[in-house]
Amino acid sequence: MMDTRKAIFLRAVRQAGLILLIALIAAVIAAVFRLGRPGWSRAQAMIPEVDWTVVRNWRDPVLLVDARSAAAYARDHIPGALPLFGGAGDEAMAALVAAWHPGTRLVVYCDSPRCDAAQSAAGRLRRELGVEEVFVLKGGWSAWVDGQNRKP
Amino acid sequence: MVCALALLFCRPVIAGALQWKGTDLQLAARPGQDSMSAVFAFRNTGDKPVRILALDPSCSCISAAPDKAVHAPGESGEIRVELALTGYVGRMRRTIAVTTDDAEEKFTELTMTVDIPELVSITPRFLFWRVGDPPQEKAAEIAISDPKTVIVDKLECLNPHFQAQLLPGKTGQFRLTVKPTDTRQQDEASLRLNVIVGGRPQTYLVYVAVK
Repeated sequence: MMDTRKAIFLRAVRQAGLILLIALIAAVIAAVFRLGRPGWSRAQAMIPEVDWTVVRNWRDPVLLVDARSAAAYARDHIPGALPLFGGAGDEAMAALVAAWHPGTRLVVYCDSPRCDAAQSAAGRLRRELGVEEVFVLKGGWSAWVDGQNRKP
Repeated sequence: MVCALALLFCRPVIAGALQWKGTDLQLAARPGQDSMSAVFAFRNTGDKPVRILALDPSCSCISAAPDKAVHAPGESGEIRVELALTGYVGRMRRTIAVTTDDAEEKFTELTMTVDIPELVSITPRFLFWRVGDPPQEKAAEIAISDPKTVIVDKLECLNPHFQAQLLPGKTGQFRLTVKPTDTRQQDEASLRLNVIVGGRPQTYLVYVAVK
């Protein structure tokens, strides 16, 4: 009786070990080949996300940067936002630089929480312009629109 | 164990009735390419028609459309995608959420990872002095990814209040130095770095300002 129980226990331990081994091998392969990791995570650190309710209460000047397509910007955008991809890329960047002044925070937004263009654009602005105070608007355009619709 | 690993990494991707040839595309753009097309192909392996209810791209830079809305059992179909690349460099990852009326698997996420070559990198692209700062020289590093394809032609600065120089370094590398003549008042300029890419002229801007 005891031997049977011991055998069952040992078999269960062996099977659990096998399952763990398979999971470990899969995890190692995923880590080596970086399966499923977002592109920007390999290239740069995450730019901090900030909620609109926080942004609108900042005392420091804020420059909103629209990282959606030029067509989406033309349809509608957050008031005061400048397009990052309006016209030729460099012209849009020139307008952005002209509007920026020391102490101004840049807040970049894209279409939705699923869009990583804001992260990559914010990283590019931080790297190319050397501006440290760059943020990504949490939830992007869709969250901002939702916030406006919820207003009493 | 071998079977388990085979199951783990097997392709194509089977999600409910729709069997996708692949849900994760790795793409490479040509230098200067404005847009890119991609196709996600699938087959309805179920015994009922499947209707595509919605395609929700992660970014307005994507347009996506199915070849048709309803696919009969055994029928093949595809989602055609057009991806705008203008203004992007490096690696971009975009997704499309596909919603169907398939009872087993209503949602599928399609992913595209695109590598967009950066022919000329300028770091930083913006040099600035605060009003009242000493008018010291500042520099940006310019790196050409493929010196055989990209030839640096000349640097133009139309604002005489900024003295700019382009100094060649190692192959494919340059140092741009800029010195304002006066920092007592606000001023700004866009320096034009003219390059020839595969025989065609292109301009990169470097911004300088006293603010």
